[in-house]
Amino acid sequence: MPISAYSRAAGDAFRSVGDFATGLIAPRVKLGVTGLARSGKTVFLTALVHNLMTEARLPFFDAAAQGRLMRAYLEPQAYSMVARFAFEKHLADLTGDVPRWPESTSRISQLRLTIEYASTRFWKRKLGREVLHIDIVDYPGEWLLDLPLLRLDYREWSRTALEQSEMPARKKAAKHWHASLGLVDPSDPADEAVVERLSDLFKAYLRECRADPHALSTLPPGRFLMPGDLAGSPALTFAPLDAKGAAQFSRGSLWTMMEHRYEAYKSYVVRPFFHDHFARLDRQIVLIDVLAALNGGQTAIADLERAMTEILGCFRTGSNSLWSSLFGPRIDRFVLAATKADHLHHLSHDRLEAILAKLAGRAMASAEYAGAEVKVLALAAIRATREGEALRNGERLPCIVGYPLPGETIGRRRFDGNEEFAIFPGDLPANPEAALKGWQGEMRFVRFRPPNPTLLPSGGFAAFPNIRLDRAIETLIGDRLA
Amino acid sequence: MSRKAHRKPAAFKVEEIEVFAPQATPVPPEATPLPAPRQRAVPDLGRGLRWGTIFISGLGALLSLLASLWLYDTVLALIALDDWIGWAAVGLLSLVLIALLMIVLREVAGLARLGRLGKIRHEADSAARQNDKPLAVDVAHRLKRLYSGRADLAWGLKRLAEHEHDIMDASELLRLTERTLIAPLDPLARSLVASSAKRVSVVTAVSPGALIDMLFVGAENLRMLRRLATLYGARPGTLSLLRLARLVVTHIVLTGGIALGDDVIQQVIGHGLTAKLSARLGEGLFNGALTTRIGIAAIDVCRPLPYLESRRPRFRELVAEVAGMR
Repeated sequence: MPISAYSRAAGDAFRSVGDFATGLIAPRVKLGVTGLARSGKTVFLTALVHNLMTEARLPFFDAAAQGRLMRAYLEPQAYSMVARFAFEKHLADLTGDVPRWPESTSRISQLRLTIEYASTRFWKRKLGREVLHIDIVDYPGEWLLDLPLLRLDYREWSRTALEQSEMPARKKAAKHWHASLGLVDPSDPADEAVVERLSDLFKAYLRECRADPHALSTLPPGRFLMPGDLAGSPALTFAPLDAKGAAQFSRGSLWTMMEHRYEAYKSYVVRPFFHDHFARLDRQIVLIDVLAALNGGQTAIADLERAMTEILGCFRTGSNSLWSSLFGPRIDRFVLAATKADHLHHLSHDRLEAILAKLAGRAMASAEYAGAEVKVLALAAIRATREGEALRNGERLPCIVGYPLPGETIGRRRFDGNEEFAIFPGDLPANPEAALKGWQGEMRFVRFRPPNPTLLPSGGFAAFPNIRLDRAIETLIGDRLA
Repeated sequence: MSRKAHRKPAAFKVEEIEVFAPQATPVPPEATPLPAPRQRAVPDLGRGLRWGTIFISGLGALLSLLASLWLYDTVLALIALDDWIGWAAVGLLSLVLIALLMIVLREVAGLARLGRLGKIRHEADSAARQNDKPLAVDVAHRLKRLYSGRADLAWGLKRLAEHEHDIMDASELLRLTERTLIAPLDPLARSLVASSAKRVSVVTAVSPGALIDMLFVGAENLRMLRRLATLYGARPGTLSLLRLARLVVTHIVLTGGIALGDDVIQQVIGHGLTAKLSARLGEGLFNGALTTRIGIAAIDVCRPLPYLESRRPRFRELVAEVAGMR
């Protein structure tokens, strides 16, 4: 390990001691919210904050159910280098004249929510420490796929990236990139135009993989698809090359330039994220859109499984001892949520949870072994449907009723978004193993319009109905509000 | 659930097709039956006709025949004596019969209510253990009906109704029901037990004779049982009160072995010490403790849900409550 690694580790330890000390005076918890693109992070976070701020009925969030929540409000965030989560804007989208889902965000953002509550603990009451600051960090799950890059050098990364692109599901998407890669010799002198062309083709290939019919998710480097404010900078302009057996490349060659940029990407993009945000989380929720992957078929599911394994492998989970909470806090409560559970009748939620638990299998087991509390939930932060039963050929089908978004299809029917439909999405496999190994049954999950907002007599909007949001909140922060 | 391997996805127009609201009360499936008590293989004695039964039923029939004949004759004689006396007798007789019928009906209803509480608890227990959603919905629904007329539970019923269309699994639904409907009753039950125990202790300590003690302790315990059962929704009559008392005694016998651990030993030692100070005081404390124990058992028997989230009251806590330390 180079010296710099030690100094960084020492820096981290110093900062966590500092955090610990501030925590003694102003208790706080750092909550990470992540998930792959379009998994519902923005909606989850908006709903979470909105529910807490409007004192919504959350029957299984104990502090709320027992009437111990006094007040929740937003405060200026602690870390000033990061965008603020635009809660008000997203809420305005949802509660506008024509409610629509908030735009997805593609970068890290932060929000500080402060909760005043009445404690059940004698000492907390006496010492008057009945305030909890929740620092919520919302970051794209794709960025986590970059963390393994910290351990790979350019040569290794190029090899794996090329191997992945040869896989049958991706080969077609990578055709153009492969073609121009064949024309390039890595030992040629570096040429900005060539680099840019290769990089663009590589990005096009990644984008193609993520688009709907494939819906693949393991596509590092994550920032290529979600550049944020770094778009166009050299650190984001590189691509893997085929070394073609050569062991050494001269200075000034194409290979060396790419290698240089790859290292820059690691040290200016990946590492700061890791040290400033990721390594300091106390609680974490990972949102996963299992239904979209099921729509995408077996390749999408297999790919999601790979992504999950990699993402979940990044977290430092386990119970905290005094030592670890001083020098390197670990995530001791962890929620894995299959979002958009309102696209399914609740009779299928158990199966959805079983599939998710299977997807997350090994990572979850090791987190539990280390002493972390792990919970798997089928969740809908905002519930857009009702439930009902429809009769078809004398058979009662458990349906969900709502307004499908325009452009969604089921069978030959195409929805225009203005009519209410009862949808039977098909049966989830009873055996989660079957879902991962190519399930032959037909399923189609349709997206719905957000529900109409209800105006409160006291002004503002009532919290939207949800499915199991309260259980998620209870697991994430319930113990800190005891 | 037996269903086809898979069913195709489909979309229906809301107006085109019947959309049922989710059923509020699904057909209650049978709760898992209690394990059948194992029969001991006793050889059939081959007693043939049950002469004892025949004797008793014959005798009963004969007596009632005689009684009705006697009544008939008496009424006729009275009518013969004077018209208005006879008709007054007929009126009184019918009043007696109607009152008797009503008493029987009330006892039957009381027994049925008691039985219903037991059944609800048994089913709630199996629903929570097996995560059986339809059964849990059914249990919650029956509890709501049981408590529908109670002003003291109106708040809880309203809360529960708000979450009717929420998505919960069986144990969550039962927990919510316990929290909103049953848990508010628990402290009242505790204070009922505590006040009875206090009264028993004081009366035993000051009363002049052992007979009065015994009568008072018996009566007070029955009164406590009736009030506890009424609190949890059974409203027992005389017969069902006796049945409840039997259930409570059975419960104490069955669970006594578990409770013996710490509490009884403390109690015996404590009793020994206080008895050294004053025999009457010792008696009083002992009877109070006994009443407390009966009260806890009665709560166990009457409470229509098992303890899911709240804790079963413990002997020690209740003793503290009796002594006014809480």
